[in-house]
Amino acid sequence: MTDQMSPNKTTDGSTIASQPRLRDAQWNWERIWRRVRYPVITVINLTIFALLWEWGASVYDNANFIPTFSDMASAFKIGWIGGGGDATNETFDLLQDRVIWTNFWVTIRVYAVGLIASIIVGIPLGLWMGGSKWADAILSPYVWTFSSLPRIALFPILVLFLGLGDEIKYALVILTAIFPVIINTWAGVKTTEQSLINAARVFGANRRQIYQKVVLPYTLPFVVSGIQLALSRGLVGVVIAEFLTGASKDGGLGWLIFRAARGFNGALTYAALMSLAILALVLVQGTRSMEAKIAPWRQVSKT
Amino acid sequence: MSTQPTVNGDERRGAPLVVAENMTVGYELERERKLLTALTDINLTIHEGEFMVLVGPSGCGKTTFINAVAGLLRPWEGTITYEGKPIKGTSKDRSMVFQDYAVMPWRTVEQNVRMPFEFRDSGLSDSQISAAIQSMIENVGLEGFEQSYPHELSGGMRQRVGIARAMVTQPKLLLADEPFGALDAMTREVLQGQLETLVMDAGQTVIFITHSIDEAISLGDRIAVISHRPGTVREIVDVGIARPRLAEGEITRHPEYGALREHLWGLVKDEALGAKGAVA
Repeated sequence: MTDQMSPNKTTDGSTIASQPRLRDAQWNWERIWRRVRYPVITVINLTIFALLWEWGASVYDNANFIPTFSDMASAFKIGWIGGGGDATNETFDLLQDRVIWTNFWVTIRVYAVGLIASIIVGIPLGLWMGGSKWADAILSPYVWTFSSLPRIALFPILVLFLGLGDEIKYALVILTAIFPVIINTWAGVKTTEQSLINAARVFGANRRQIYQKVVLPYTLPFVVSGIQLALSRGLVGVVIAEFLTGASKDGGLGWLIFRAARGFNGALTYAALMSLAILALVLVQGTRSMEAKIAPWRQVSKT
Repeated sequence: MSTQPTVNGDERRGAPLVVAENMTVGYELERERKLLTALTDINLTIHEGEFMVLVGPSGCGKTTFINAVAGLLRPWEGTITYEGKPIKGTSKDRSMVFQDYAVMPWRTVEQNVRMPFEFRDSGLSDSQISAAIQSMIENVGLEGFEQSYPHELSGGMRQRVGIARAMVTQPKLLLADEPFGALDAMTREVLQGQLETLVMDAGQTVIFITHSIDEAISLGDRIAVISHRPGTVREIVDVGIARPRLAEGEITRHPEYGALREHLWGLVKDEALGAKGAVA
């Protein structure tokens, strides 16, 4: 307090100067609460959810269909970190040490390769279709047909060509993920405001500069939302592919969920499912903040 | 040509700068894949140093005319010349302010105003360019907002960016396509006054589009009334009110104002009704 008082002596309005400090102290608690309230509420919310799950599952009493939350959590721990291999009660149980970890990376590998391919191919295709009437006329029937078709219907044909290995998984991820990238990019180019293009022309931009300085920046947020869509669609693609290809060992998270459920290992099924949910959540939230960083002007105009 | 007495419009007027002769121009409606004639048989001369306002009902082709002057469109028939040479493309001499501002949302105020220097060589050094940008930003009252993005600004401030961008290279001819049409009445009046001052200081020629008769009288040396689509010049009216008009305040109290307004309204009303009739 003495430190705070000393500067007040130099001014005659010491009471005025001390008032904001007092108010600061009062506001502090409210500020802290404001900052932490959503995490706190989320933690409470999820705790209640876990407790309800624990209670509901023990009342339902069929661990094959719904394990208790604690069983799921221990399967989650074993699946990710290990350390519970001998707690299993069946000889050929799927729940090996770090089984989720292993399968998680199988899924991620296929998913990432498929997504990156979709982005690398999809963006130029969308730009090309948006910029050239010829490319648009020639390619759009195929793009629209494929993007409307439930891609999974192609699976039987794809099996003939690609077999049941990794290739078909890549193909399904690309087929599900590439169209939102193409279509969003195309839409961005197509909807670039004419007045922005006119302005660039008036100030002397040539065709290349218009594309570079107007069309591309205008399209960027569209591309980001296309990638966002591709992320969630691609995840569907990879999980379905893993369901259908049915590897004998370590076929990815989708495979793990499928096998665990078929083997009535409820705890592992739910633990793997939970892992998938967390992955999806992290991806979606990550791209959301990416969008806010890349195109702040769109965030504001949305609200 | 004129029905109103000329007071001082002629003194300000120099040599012909933009001359449209029997010009017919239109544009392609992409969705319906047909050509639309916007202006037919236009004869209009804009002189150096003149503030020419085009008024007319919406959709009469005013914007098309300004786009043709800018070099964004080519005439289908007839000619349009700038300093005696046919207009074949855009030029550093002709700058433009847009109705919807057309500022790049991903650029800061400073970067938007810098745009004209990026696409054309101005012959200025980097420091001269920066100085020109800074003084222009100050002239339009945006100092302190250099690093702001358009979405952080009000409509009036965005249009200030548009005006600064158009005038920073000191073009000979300023084209303004309903620049204040989307603004509220108060902002509009403030910007009208500031535009008048800016233009008078720089001695620029201006072609200004509006659908507001009051705005036309407030700003124009001459007002060309355009008839409804396909548009043509119906009458050119001289405004003999001395400048500066808006810095002094109430231009509406000027003795000539009422008669001018009534005359123009008579012309425009016919056209607006005619346009309606054409639709029905």
